[in-house]
Amino acid sequence: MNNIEPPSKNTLIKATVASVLAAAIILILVVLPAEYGIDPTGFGGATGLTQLNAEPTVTIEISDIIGGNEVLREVEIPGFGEPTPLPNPAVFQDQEEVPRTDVVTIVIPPESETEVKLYLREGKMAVYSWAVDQGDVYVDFHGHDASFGPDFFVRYKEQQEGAGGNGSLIAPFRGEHGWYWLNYNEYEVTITLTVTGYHDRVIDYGIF
Amino acid sequence: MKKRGRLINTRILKFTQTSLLLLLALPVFAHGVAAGDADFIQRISGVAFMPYVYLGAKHMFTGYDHLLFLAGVIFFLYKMKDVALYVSLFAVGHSITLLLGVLGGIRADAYIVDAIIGLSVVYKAFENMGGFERLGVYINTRHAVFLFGLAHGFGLSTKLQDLSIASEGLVPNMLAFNVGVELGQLAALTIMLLAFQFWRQSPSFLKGAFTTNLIIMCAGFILFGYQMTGYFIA
Repeated sequence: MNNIEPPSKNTLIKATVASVLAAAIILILVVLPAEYGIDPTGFGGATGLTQLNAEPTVTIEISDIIGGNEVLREVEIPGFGEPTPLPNPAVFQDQEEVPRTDVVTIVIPPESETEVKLYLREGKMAVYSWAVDQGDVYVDFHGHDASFGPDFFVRYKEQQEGAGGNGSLIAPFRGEHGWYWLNYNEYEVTITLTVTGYHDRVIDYGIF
Repeated sequence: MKKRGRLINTRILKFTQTSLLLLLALPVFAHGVAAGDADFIQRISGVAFMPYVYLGAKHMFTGYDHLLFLAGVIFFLYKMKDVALYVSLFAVGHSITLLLGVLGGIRADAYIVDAIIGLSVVYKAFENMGGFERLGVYINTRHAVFLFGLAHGFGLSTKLQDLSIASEGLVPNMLAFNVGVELGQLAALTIMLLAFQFWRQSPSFLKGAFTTNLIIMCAGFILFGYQMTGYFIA
């Protein structure tokens, strides 16, 4: 070693403390954000250092139905690795009850109408399929919210000449959602409707 | 010394110190085994002497934590005899644990070992600053270099243990790796010694020694903090 006097204790203490502080600062600002994504000051995020070891993410669009209107929302989820919980009610609805299945057969005489509705609470889903045995009919797939009065309804799908329809519905509001069919033909038409879902009941208004 | 010569040597000192500071600020990448090399190790089976010698050399030559410690060790060793002695103590230490680790299957937590290596850098720099002398703490440097050499060897072996090295030809391959480590160390040492010889001719060496070792100690603290964080979160 060298033969000079070692520095004073004071100098050593100050130098060591300075050294530890400098190391801590560099660790917290640069190294930990870059290596582990640990960023207590936000400096790593601001400078983009945290991108070095960040989990790859994917942005997906989730649509929420609010008041009958579709609203899009962006959700970021990890790209791969551990599965991440996604309890978004617009996508996943956990239900206590087992879904019910109803098969309804409606015979519509010539030039007659009928309505068959599902009573659905808000946010509940039903999956349906209907078909005519021959020809086609006018159909209006719509929903009534009784709290707005009997004439208020929202329309999901209208077909001037429809031989069948398939799909799913998540009720935007509590009420009756279903089909108005008009048989404008000169012959009788039989409609078979199958519904599986979380509707409370099927309401068959009969022929009118 | 002519004025220009003095200016150049001061500039060399400033450059060295600034470089060290800048290096501290760079993201400290975990100096594991490079992807291609790891691939090679896991892929092949049987004796591959020269490749393993090269891998060992590369590992030591790019192992900045090992080199920082070595730099601290030779910082104030003026006689080649002393350099040879201390470097050999270090080499024997790390060879023992490298071989014990990979061949003997003695495992150690990589983060803890690397943190200890960080502390070895802190120790040697503090000693070079006259710290222990001032505190009245006597440390047998030869023992310390050997003991920390053991730690450095575990650092080398834990990087390899994570890879599934073929058992066929394992012993000759690991001996080759060890030879490579020493060769790499020799190469790095030569460069370091040349730099030190050149620097020591200037008065700025003794003036700048304290600050330079302080920066090296700071690097040791960063290494320590980086590895300990890894230990706790990983």
